[in-house]
Amino acid sequence: MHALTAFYSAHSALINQIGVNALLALSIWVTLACGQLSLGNMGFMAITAYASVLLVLRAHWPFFPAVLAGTGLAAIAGLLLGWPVLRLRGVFLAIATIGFGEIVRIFAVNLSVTGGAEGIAGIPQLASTPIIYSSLALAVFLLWRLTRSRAGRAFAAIAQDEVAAAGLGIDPAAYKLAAFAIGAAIAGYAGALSAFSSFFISPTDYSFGRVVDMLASAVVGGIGSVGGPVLGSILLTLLPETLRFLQNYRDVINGLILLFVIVFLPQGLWSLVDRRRAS
Amino acid sequence: MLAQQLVNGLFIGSVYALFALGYTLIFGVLDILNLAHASIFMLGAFTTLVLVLKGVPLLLAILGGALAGGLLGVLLDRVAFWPLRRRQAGPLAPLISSIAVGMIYVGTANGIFGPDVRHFPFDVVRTPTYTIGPVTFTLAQLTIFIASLALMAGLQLLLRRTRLGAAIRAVAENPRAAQLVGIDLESVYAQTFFIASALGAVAGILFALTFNAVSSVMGSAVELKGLAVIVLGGMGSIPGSLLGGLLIGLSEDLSVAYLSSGYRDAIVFAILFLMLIIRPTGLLGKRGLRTA
Amino acid sequence: MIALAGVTKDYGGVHAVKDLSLELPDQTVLGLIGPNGAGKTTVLNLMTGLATPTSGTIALDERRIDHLKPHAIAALGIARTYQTSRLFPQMSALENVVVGMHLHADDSLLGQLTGWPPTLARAQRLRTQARELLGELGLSERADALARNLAPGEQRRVEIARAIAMQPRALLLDEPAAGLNPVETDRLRAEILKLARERNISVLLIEHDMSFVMAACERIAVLNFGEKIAEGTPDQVRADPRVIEAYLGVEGVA
Ligand SMILES: Nc1ncnc2c1ncn2[C@@H]1O[C@H](COP(=O)(O)OP(=O)(O)OP(=O)(O)O)[C@@H](O)[C@H]1O
Ligand SMILES: [Mg+2]
Repeated sequence: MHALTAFYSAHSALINQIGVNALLALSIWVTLACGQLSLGNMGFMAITAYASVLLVLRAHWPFFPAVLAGTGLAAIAGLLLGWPVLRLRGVFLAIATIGFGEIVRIFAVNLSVTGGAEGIAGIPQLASTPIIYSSLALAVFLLWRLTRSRAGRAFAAIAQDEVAAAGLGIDPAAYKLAAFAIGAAIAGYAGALSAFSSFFISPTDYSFGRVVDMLASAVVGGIGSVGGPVLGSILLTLLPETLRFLQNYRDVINGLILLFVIVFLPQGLWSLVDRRRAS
Repeated sequence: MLAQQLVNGLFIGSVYALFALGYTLIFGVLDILNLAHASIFMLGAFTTLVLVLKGVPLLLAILGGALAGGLLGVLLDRVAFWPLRRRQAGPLAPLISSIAVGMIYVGTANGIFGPDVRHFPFDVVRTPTYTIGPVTFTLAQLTIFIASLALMAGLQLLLRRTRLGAAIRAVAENPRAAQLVGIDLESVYAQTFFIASALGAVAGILFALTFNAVSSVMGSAVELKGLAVIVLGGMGSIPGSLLGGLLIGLSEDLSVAYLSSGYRDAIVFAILFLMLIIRPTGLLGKRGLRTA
Repeated sequence: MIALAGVTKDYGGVHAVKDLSLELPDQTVLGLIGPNGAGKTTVLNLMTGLATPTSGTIALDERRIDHLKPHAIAALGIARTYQTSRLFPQMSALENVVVGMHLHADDSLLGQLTGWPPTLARAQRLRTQARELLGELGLSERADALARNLAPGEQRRVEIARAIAMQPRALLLDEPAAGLNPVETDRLRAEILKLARERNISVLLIEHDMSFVMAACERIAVLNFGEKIAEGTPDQVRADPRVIEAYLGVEGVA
């Protein structure tokens, strides 16, 4: 027991980070499950993180209401972004959403309320490990149930053949918007947890690289099911830690793993766990 | 003031255009968004820097950088895209594999050169400054501008006047039909990657010379802006990327002059976003390469 | 009844469909034939909202449907299959059919999210129904195979099962027998007619296999270069000189 506590206190930051990253990978997975390559999730992270941190620090809101308000804001932003980009597909959608994420970041750099490039310091550590992991467990459970539901079946149908899906009475626009909003909410919520488990936030936390990490985790784990993104996040968050000795070459290993998976394991690592779908 | 901003905008815009040319060429031919392009931009600059530091004359060093960039592009195609082509993967897979190779390239540079910013020897980049009326510019800037335009014109000529160009256009139009008339697709892809990546590397070299700074993260300064350029000009359009590059360069310098420097990039991305919503095919139509 | 009145569809300079009037009454099997490029698939696309008419109207009973989105038209009870099969490739045959039940699926989202047992039982019932439907098309064995691993003939039958799962009023079939051998074709015809009769579904059948069309349809309309050149019973159409002319040198009318 003592060893366990010692282990936890030595690695709690990393453990929290894994949980947050898993939520982030799930946020991008939701839109992918509906066939949408949306790469603006760092923008939603930023929106909820800044909103909830400011509500706590400036308006003295309690933690949960602040985070939930921020999450709602991200969901609304998701709908507002999702609406105009509905007709964009593939890389065009990816580019438009990247543009959105960058615009959010640039505003964070320039507004005074966000503390500009320096960001906001002195954030209380309110997102404890139990909060993060119960959130993750809840998200995994709900998303897993979602995939089993009528809506989840519609998501998968749209992802695999939008025209055929519409021919069966599925309204692609409605489901895509829903996927956008859910993805934005999860990304935002994770962004808030991340903010409240570190001492400060700044716009560099919400750069393009952040969404690349999410996407990499989701794909390495496998986007065929909910377990994939979680598995991918565990691996890709731990990896840099174990590869510290490589110093500046670390990214090479990350890149090689990503390349290996996409070339040789198109369904991701999860397909090794769940052979049913591997063929 | 205005004239000076316009000139600055054109100089930097021509480098953006050159960089975006590679994005657009690969998108036009293979329908791939190649996110490793920015890493080749950076490695081109590093190669030239290393050669210059070894005493190679600048012009030769630039050629060396371009060659290295081209070869890295061919390697990229082999390891990242070729396996996916064979199994006809969707658009997500090549995007990811290009990110992966980008990480490998940037990580390698980071490992070799570290995270610090490197500089060219001062005497290499020192050039005379000219003042014409209200406008001041350096010989280097002018050379870069002319070189960028010349390379773009060269590419246009290559596409229009040579066998290779005809083959590239045919493949862009319809790979299967091109194959039926005896065009070797793989060879066209390899050559496309060589050309696109060599151009990207040259853009990186010129960019590094302009600011006299080389670093492993320099690609991130242009990778997203390059997207704005090709979206504005029209994905797959060569003249479009020239127009888009110049317009983005101008909008940057003008927004610094008249709005606020902080929001400079916000304007760029707002243009990108609005363009995609209003006219996803860009200013110069959607199939620019096919009719180049 | 679905009624097309004076429908024209232009693609650039091409009149894919020209001033077409056509009626698909309830509980009938109507054949739509014509040489390659005659505009048959375009007619289906117009009826299902994948294309909008350049002029003319399409109505389901009294209601105009020509400017509705595809999913809204499907919700009114028009189902279709595609010339090249469009199954969801990563789903099993069974899952494809369950998605076909989208409009009638009664497993509530809240129930599914919470794992509420009655909802799960309902979802299970959908799967059972889907399995039975596949059974009717002789696909019991293949229900759990991924769609992309099915043989072409199996894919066509799953696509029909998926369309039937919508409980449509009208079923539009685009060359369901393409690529099948004569034995499979006969069997498919029998299955389609049986399903349609049992469920009171009207069928619009596009087919190149003349023996299939002649045997299956009560009426046949013939398109050539986007225009309807004949319509009538199989015997009338077979004897029509304009039809023979249109097909001359293309293929014989059986
Ligand atoms: N989306 C489209 N864009 C442009 N032209 C089209 C389109 N769809 C169909 N056409 C043209 O319309 C005409 C009719 O095509 P359609 O596919 O309806 O014929 P069809 O009778 O189904 O032929 P087939 O027997 O070969 O399936 C053809 O000339 C075709 O090229
Ligand atoms: Mg057809």
